[in-house]
Amino acid sequence: MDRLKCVARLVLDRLQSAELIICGFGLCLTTLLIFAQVLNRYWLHFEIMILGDLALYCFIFFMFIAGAVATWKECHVSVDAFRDKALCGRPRGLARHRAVLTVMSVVILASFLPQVHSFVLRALKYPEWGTLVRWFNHSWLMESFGVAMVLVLLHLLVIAGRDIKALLDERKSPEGGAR
Amino acid sequence: MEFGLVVGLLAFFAGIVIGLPLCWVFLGCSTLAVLLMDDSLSFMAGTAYHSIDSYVLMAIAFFIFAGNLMADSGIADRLVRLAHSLVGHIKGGLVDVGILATVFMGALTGSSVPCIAALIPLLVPQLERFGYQKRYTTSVLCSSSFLGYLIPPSVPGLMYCLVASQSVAALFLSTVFPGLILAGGYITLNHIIAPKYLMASRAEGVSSWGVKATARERASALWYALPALGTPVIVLGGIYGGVFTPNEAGAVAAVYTLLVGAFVYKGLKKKNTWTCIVNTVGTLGMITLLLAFGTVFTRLLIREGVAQAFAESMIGAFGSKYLVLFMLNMLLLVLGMFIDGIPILLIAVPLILPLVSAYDINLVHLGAIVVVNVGLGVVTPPYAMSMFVGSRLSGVPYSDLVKPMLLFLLFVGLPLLFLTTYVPALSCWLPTLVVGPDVVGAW
Repeated sequence: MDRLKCVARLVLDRLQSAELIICGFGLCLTTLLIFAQVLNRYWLHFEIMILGDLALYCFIFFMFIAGAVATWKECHVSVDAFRDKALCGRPRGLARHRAVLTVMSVVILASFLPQVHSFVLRALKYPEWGTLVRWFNHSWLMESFGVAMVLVLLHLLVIAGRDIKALLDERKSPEGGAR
Repeated sequence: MEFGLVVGLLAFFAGIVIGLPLCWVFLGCSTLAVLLMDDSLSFMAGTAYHSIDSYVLMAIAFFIFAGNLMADSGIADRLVRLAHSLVGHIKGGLVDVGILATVFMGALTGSSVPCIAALIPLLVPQLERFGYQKRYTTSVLCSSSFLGYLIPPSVPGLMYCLVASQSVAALFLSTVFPGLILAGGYITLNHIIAPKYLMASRAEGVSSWGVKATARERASALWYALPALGTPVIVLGGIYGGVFTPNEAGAVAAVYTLLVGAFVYKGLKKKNTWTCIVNTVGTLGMITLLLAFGTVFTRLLIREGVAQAFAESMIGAFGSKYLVLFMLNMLLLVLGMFIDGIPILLIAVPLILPLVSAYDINLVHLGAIVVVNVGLGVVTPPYAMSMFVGSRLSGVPYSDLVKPMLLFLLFVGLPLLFLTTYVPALSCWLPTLVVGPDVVGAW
């Protein structure tokens, strides 16, 4: 069991690193492509028409993956004012609240995935080739949207597991149980 | 209004109150409403996907990236030195240094939090040496962070352009005068109330204001800050000179900042550059999911006529344009007290567009009003992002920041909001002059 946990942890770490590298590379590449477009327009004058479109494709792709990164980094915005007021000084209540919210997030995203699945299937069935970047299929971006949503769900499940474990630990501890 | 939609809206408010991340609130209540209305869910995935397909969003990404690089590149202390050489000798002027430095940083980062993240660790301990209470200087800097939204380039301004399909060039200029008035107001109020916050004890032989800088010192400070000040010149000069589009300006700003930070100021090393990239990716990921699902939610509301119903009820209830604008401000202010700027822009702007078109309110003017409101949200308790960051960075308890910040809010922030709302010339004159009346429209 411990070995399985170790392997899962390792796979997850690698996955997170890969997502970060893809996004970091995507951000830098998009920036450089647009910068190169400016340089080309005023100084180089090569007949390259594809830079703008290519940068947009690259941008869309890494932005979807960034959604997965934001999920495991827990960057999402929420209104915490009421929660802080109601659950201040109640660690067990906070842990329970956290676990419930994460499970709700999982349920909400899981209910959206069938739509994403049909969207991706449609994209696979009807490829849309780019106008300026002829070899680029827009359907790849739609498929990457599907992949990103699955990754987001995976990270949410990991967070949900962690929050539920924290809640169980809180219950076991005498300080947590006192509240 | 259909039953499903009412339940969806109730679920939306319930989701916000319980603290569910806003992207899941948008997605959850849209799904719930559509399911209860027995409608097809098929539009949702396509709408979410297409919301990201935008060059303006790319510009937002570049400006956030440039802002993060800027905050970490060591540019802040050069700007502080320049501001110090300009106003440091005036009584209370050391705090003005912070306000002026925020104006410079705002012109570089286009955002609020990177401004204070760079300036608070730099200025608060120094000003304490000169006898200024930490809670006061932190409050002033947190209040000034709002300037980051008003001095172009502005990330919320870009977001507004994305949602309302407005000219980025016009919107950037619409908040210049409000920004300068705000800075002037803060400096004036600082001179009035700063003596109250001066401590009796200060470092030996140190007065609470500096020595007047010589012309040579000022020139030297300007020389060292010049590469940093090149960013707004390149960005704004490039956009208004017709050299590049806003997203190209963003990319040029990011590359320029990277080069200046790494090779001129030498503040950007491999490690902190990677940290900047990681932070940018986190912020962009948050924006991706918010924008994707927020667009689904607002598309649903517009499709079901909620925006139109909201406009009709506001017109019916208040009648006059001035009252409607006042109520809009109240609504945006209350939202800003609890919700972050980007979700406000995503939810509120599409809902109020039919209302403002009914009263012929100029959309560039509306953009300025919305950006000022979003900026006020950053400094308005209880959910004031700048106060959370400021409190963490300076070690001053959140509650100690509230009173001085409220003074700046009541005497400068709110009057500025009403000035921007009821004097359209303040936000429309400069854009009309620079980008032309065809782009800005009648005001």
